[in-house]
Amino acid sequence: MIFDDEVLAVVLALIVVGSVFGVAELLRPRVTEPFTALGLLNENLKIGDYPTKVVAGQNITLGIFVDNHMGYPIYYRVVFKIGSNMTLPTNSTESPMPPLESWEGFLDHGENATFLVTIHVDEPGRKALIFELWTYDPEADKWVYTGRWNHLYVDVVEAPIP
Amino acid sequence: MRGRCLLSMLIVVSLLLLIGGGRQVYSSSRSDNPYESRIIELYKRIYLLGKEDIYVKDLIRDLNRVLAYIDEGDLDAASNLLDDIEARVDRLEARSGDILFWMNFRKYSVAAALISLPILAYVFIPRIYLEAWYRLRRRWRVRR
Repeated sequence: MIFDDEVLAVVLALIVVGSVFGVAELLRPRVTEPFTALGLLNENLKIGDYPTKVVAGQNITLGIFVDNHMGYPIYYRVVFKIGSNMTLPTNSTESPMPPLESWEGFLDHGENATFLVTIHVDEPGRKALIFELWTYDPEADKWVYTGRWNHLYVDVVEAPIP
Repeated sequence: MRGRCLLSMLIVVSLLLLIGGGRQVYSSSRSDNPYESRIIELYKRIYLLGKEDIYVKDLIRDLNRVLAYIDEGDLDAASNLLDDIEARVDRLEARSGDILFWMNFRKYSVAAALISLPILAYVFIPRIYLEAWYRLRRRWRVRR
């Protein structure tokens, strides 16, 4: 093998590029685009096969997925509301409907949680099951709506009279 | 006339939605949680540590266990675990300066080592190569 100046230059160039990328990777901020995520799953904790027709008063089991990439631990709360297409949340405002149930937990950066929830709808009609993600803002000292929400439309039918 | 009535109704509905939707603070429905303020205070301290990249996964896991105990109605277990977490957070906060110093020291040492790699390679690769070249051929004899 001939190891002349040209070969040395190529090897050095590779080492320079490698070390620059290494330093950049080491010194870059841990989180460049912080985000949280909320997912709605079926009772088998899978996406899809959601219930479309439910009986009023009967329990509905759904799965909730929460993910934290904020760069710090979060104290989250998933809030359940029942509404319609007129009362859905947006990316900046929560649904005006009153909260009916909530589930709380803590997640460190890079962690996620998946859990089952059981809810029920008492009034018949076409309803939107709304799940909003809230987090506790330790600097403002209050719960803040994250702008993440999921909804599922269901047709609620009256329970058959035995 | 009907159009004007509809328009005013739309304005009223939009205003109501705006007032309702603009409300950002959620009033907790967990008023039955006697440790809520303690949990929040601990979370705030753990948040500050986690934000500095200090390892808080175990503390977060235990805070989740506290919530589970409260849901199960086991308030004694929740209180004991909160005491334990509080003590660990105290210790971690006391050591946080040292932890941060050594974390940064390690990070910038690795960065310095990576930056000096090209210089070291420039100086040592030809020497190492020559040394190897001579060692491999030290038993060779020159024929006239």
